[in-house]
Amino acid sequence: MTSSTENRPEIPRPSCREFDIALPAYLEGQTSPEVERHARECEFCAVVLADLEAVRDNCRALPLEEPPALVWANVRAALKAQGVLQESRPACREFDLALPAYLEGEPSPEAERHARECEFCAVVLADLEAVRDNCRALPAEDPPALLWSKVRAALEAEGILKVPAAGFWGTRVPAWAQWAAPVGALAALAMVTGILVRAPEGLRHVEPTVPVRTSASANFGVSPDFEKTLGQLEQSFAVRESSLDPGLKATYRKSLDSLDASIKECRTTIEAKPSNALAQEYLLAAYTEKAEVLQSALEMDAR
Amino acid sequence: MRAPGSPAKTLQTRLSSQLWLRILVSFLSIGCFAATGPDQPPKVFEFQTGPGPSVTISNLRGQVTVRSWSKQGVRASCTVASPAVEVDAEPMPANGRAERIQFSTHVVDPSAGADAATADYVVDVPAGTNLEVRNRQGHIQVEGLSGETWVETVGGSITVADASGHLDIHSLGGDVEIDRPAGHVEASTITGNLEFLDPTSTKIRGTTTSGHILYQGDFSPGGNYMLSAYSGDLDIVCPASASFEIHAQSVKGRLDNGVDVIRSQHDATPRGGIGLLGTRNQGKARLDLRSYSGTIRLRTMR
Repeated sequence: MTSSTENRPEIPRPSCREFDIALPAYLEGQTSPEVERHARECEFCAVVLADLEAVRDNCRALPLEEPPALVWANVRAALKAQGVLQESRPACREFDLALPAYLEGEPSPEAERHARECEFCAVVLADLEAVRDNCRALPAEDPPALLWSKVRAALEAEGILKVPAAGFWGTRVPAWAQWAAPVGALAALAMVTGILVRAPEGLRHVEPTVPVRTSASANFGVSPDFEKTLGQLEQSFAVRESSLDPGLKATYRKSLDSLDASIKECRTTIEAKPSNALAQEYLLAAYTEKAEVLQSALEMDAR
Repeated sequence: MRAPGSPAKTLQTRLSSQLWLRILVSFLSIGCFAATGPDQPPKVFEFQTGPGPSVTISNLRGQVTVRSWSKQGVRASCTVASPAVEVDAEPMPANGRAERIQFSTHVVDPSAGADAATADYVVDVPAGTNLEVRNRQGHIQVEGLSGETWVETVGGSITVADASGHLDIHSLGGDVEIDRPAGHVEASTITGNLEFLDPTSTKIRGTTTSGHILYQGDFSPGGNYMLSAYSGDLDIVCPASASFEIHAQSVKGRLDNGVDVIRSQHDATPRGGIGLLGTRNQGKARLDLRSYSGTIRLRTMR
C-alpha cells in the first residue's frame, strides 16, 4: 500500500491538528507559544505557517478592490427582497449598470446626471460611496477563521490546493507555498465581499438575544475562538430562523439536527476513547459543516 | 343510549361526509386553478456568445435545467409562477457576444407566498460554458457541459449528467446524482444521498452526514476517490477488473466486503473501529472510504 505523497502523515498527528486549530488565532495576532514551538519542531507545519504568514502579509498589501458585479446584483436582490429597493425604471437600471464602474473611478456623466434627477438613486449612490470610502479607511484585517476554510475549499475546487484525504470539506492545508498571490487575492476578495454584503445598515442582523451555548468542546480539539464564532452564528440563526421560508427552515433545521447528533456522538466516542483519530476528524468536520450551514442560512437574504 | 352498531354507522357517515368533502375540495381547487390560470407565459432570452461563456443562475424556487447544445449562444426559457417574481438577464458586455450572462429571479412582491416565488428555467448553453447555479429549493439538472460547473441548493436535489469539466456540487438536504462524470468531482450533502454512476473521473470526493453513498462503476488508473458517509451506508459496486488500493475505516459501522482484496500487513484499523487496508489487482487507483456508523459495502458487478 502506498503512502501519501505529502511529507505529512495522511492522518495528522495530534500536535499538528492542534497547530492547525490554533493557527487562525495566531495569524490574527494572538500569541501562541505552542504554535511557535510546533513550527520549530515540525518541518511541514513550519512551511505551512511561513506560507500563511506570507499570504496574510500579501493580503494586507493588496489594494481594496471593488467587488464583482455579482455582489452588486446580490445586494440589489436583497434590497428588493426586503422591499427596500423599489422596482427600478429603465433609467435606474442604466444607472445600476454604470454604478460599479463609476464607483471604481470611471467618469460617468450619465450616472451623475441620473443621481441628480432621481432621489432614490442619489441615496443609493451616496450610501455606496460611503461604504466604499469606509472600506478604504478600514484597516486591512485578516479574515475570520471561517473564511480560511472557504478559501481552502475554493482552492481545492480549482485543483490549486491538493488536500490529503484526511478530513472533509477542506479542513487541511497541505501546500500553500506556490500560491501565495492567488490566495491573497482570493482572501482579499472574500473579505471585501463579506464586508459589502453585510454593509447596508438595514440588512444587518438583529443583535442576538439567545444566550451563548457553552460547552466543553475545547477539550475535543475545538478552539475557543471557533466555538465562540459558532455560538454567535447559532445566536444569529435563532433570531433569523423564524423569518425563513418554512421549507428552507425545515431543511436547515434537519441539517443542523443531523450535525448536532454527529457532534454529540463523536464527543461521546472521544470521551471514551480520546485516541480515536477518525472520530476526532468527524467531530471537527461536523463543527465546520455546522458553521458553514449556519453561515449559509444567515446569508440567505443577501444572496 | 346509543343503539348497538352506532359507532360503525357513525364511522360510515363520517367517511361518506369526508368523501364529499374531498370531492368539494377537489372541485374548488380546480376552480381556483382555472380562475388564476396556468403559469405565466415563458420569458425567453437569447444571447450570442463564444464557445465558453460564464453563465450564472440565481433562483429562489423551482426547477433549473441547463443543457448543452452545439450553438454558440445561450437561450433561456423562464417560466414564473406568478407576477410576484420576475426573471432578469444581464449579459456582459451588454452588446455583442456576451462573455458573462447572469440570470436572476427577483421577488417583486415580498408579501407573496413561497409558491408564488417559483420560477423554472430551461437554459441551453454551449458545451464549454462555465456554469454557476444557485437554486434555494427545487431540482437542478445539468447535462453535457465540459466547462466548470458549480451548483448549490439548500433543499433541492441535483442531477448532473455527462459532465467532463470540474464539478462542485453541494446540496444541504437534497439528493445528488452524478452520472458519467469525467472531470474532478466534489460533491457534498448533509442529509441527502450521493450517487456516482459510471464515472471516468480521476478524482472524486463525496461526503454526506446522514445520507448514503452509492458509487457504481470502475476506477480510473491513478485516480483518487474519497467517500465519506457519517451515519449512512456506503456502497461500492465495481467491475471485477477494478484495480485499486483501498483504505476503508469506520468508527462504529460494519465492513461488508464482497471483493477480493490482498490485505496489507499494516494495521489500518482505527482504535475501537473497523478498517481495511489492501490492494485489488494492480492497485492502480486509490480508494478511501470512511464512515462513522454506516456500513461500508464492496461488491463487484454481476
